[in-house]
Amino acid sequence: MKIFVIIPILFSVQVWASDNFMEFGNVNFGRDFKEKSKWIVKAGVDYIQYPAVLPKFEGQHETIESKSTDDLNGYNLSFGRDFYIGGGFSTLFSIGAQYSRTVDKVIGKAAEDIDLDFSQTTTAYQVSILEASLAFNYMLDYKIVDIQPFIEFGVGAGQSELEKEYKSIGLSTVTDGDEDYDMKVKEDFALTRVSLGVNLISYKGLMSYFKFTGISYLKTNRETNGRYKAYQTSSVTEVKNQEDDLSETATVGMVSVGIGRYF
Amino acid sequence: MFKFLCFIFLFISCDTVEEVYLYDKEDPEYSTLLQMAAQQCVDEAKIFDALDKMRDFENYGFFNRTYKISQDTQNKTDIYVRVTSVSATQMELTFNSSNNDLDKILVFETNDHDDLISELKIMSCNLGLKDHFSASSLASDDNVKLTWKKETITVLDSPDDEDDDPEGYDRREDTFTFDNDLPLVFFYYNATKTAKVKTDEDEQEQSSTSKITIKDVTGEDECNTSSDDYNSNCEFSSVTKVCNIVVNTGVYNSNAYSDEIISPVETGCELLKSATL
Repeated sequence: MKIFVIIPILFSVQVWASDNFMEFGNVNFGRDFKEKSKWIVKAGVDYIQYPAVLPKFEGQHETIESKSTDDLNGYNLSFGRDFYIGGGFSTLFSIGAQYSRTVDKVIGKAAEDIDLDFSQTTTAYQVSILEASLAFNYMLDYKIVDIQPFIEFGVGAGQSELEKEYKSIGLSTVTDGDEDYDMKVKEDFALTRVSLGVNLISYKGLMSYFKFTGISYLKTNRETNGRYKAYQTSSVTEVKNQEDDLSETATVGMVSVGIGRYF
Repeated sequence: MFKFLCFIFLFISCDTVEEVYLYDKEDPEYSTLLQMAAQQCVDEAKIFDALDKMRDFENYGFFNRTYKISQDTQNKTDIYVRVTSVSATQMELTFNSSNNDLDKILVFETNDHDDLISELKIMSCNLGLKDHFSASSLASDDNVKLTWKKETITVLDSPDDEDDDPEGYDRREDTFTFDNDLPLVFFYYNATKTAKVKTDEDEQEQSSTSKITIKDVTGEDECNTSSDDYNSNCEFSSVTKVCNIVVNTGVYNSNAYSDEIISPVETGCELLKSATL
């Protein structure tokens, strides 16, 4: 579904890039555009890690660690101004947004020849980030495609929502053998990041990029709500926890690819 | 890895579903899991509740209804059956046909009804019996088809060949339909029965299929004495022989060629002339 959102955006890039569109920047498209300051819009997809914090739970068929790192897929959109310094060097200042949503489900079948859903674990994430970034670029001038390595620094803030559910029906011969874990965690965070990557820029100003990123999260607030019922217990434990003024840090990685247009 | 591939192919935010197997046959929990799967199958099937409602013989509406049972291949016979009495605990079904051996008053009790549903649940839902039984449309609230494969080996597999198949056998595959529009005992007549017989190594397998149908003919011309199409077998006052039936509980453990889910109790009572080889 999301791909239907991205495709019109990417087509919009072409429209914005058409001749004299809004006359944004007075830049002629051509080989000499790269020695001038220019605008850029970029869109891409991210394979991002997120450090999760949850109440620990040890079930018969699932162990939920108090700290873990999960992999998410997301997409991003940014807009910026590339300032030409000279000698092939430029700096790009941009602002952008990133949104990730991932749902993973693991169904525990009783056995290969017994079609009985015995347990199920669902992990659902939504992460939203707003950020500003500054990149330092150096253009390697080639005939068809220019190659532009860059290093980029970013700061931002965001919110995450994680819902983790685990259910096991338990063996009928075991009293209170069923298990249930249902937890929702909302977090506010700030982040800093550094990326190393490369832009591939065509003659017409159409570009694509690829970058590796190290992200350092600083979590500031966390709200945890949920409940769990452990194996061979009859009671349900409610969890309601609000943590403010946290200063938890975690560093994870991200890989991104995308396309953009200078104009 | 799957998520990374999603990322590579730009199908971002795609959800993943993975299945894992928690136990295997060697685990001590395996037999319990079989029972749990059977119970879940029974709990989720709507048909058992629908059939259970027919236990209310007095109010379900079968009294005085007339049916015609027809067998289409060998031993072609039309049997007329009327529900001639109902009470809280039993119903009487009077059978009349051109073959006097089949004429009888069949007593079908609520206990028989209960036993039939119990057996049907086991045969339909027990995974340990899936080599012999299969059921379709358990989610229906109207009818369910149960197929039963039976075999009696008459000549063992020869050590000279590698086909791993006996040299002589009697095999049968019966498909019964349990329908909530018919008294439950009629499942026996609402059926297709296929027999395959091979007498020895040098003989070809012989097969025969018999389709038995049952139709509600209440109010039809064939049962209307003033109609030209009246069939004199649709008359039940002359039938006096009383037959009870027994549900052969546990017969699913045997699966021999001649096994039946129900049998007449009294000698001389016959449910249907066999159409098998």
